[in-house]
Amino acid sequence: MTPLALVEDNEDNRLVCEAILGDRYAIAAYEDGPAALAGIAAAPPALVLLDISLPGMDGPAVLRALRELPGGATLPVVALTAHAMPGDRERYLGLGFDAYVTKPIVDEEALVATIERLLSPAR
Amino acid sequence: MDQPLPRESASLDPEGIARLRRLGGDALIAKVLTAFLRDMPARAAAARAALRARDSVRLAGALHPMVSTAWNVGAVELAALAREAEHAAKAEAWPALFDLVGRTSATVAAVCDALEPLVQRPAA
Repeated sequence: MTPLALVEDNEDNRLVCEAILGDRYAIAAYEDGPAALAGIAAAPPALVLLDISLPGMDGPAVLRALRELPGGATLPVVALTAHAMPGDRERYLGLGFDAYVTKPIVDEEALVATIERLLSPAR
Repeated sequence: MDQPLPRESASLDPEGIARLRRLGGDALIAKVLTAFLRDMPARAAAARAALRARDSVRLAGALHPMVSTAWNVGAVELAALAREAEHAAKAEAWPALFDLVGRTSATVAAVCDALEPLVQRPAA
């Protein structure tokens, strides 16, 4: 299965996300940015789902560090956020995220479609 | 010390638990509800403490994760309240926050009471 990294501090959100995606992808879940950076450096995934509102090192800071890792410049990274304010999508894409998915994850098929689009070699 | 909180309606959408069952059966329900019961009262207490300290950043930080956590179990009223309170915290709307944080805390207590039996025996 294709390896994905999930960086999410809320246990219940991690559990739900793993339940949605676990049949399709091999999920490596991390609770915070430093743990994710170490894990992703050691075992690079094909794509990262990255919560914006992590405690300490937040999502944009983790993204900047990810981009410095070998292979990180082209690694697809999806922002996961409960922030649903006007302009958020453009802001996060402007920061260098490849896609933006709002929490709670209401549309499971849309999440999978976003991942598949980013994993497609034709993108 | 916190004041006693008024009781609020749990207002649970059964589709929340049904969705968890569809995604991962009773095992997922038990794990998600256990996390909810462990984390949400602490987040509500953190929100009340931040409100007393007039710390809008800490208050928004306590309220923010409550939105999706509540939605994951079908606690739609709680999710809406937490989101409204988070927006009020970011706007530092203190008069409204005293009401919103109180109602959010009371609703957390009511939802926990409603969900606790399901941890032992996930219901249909």
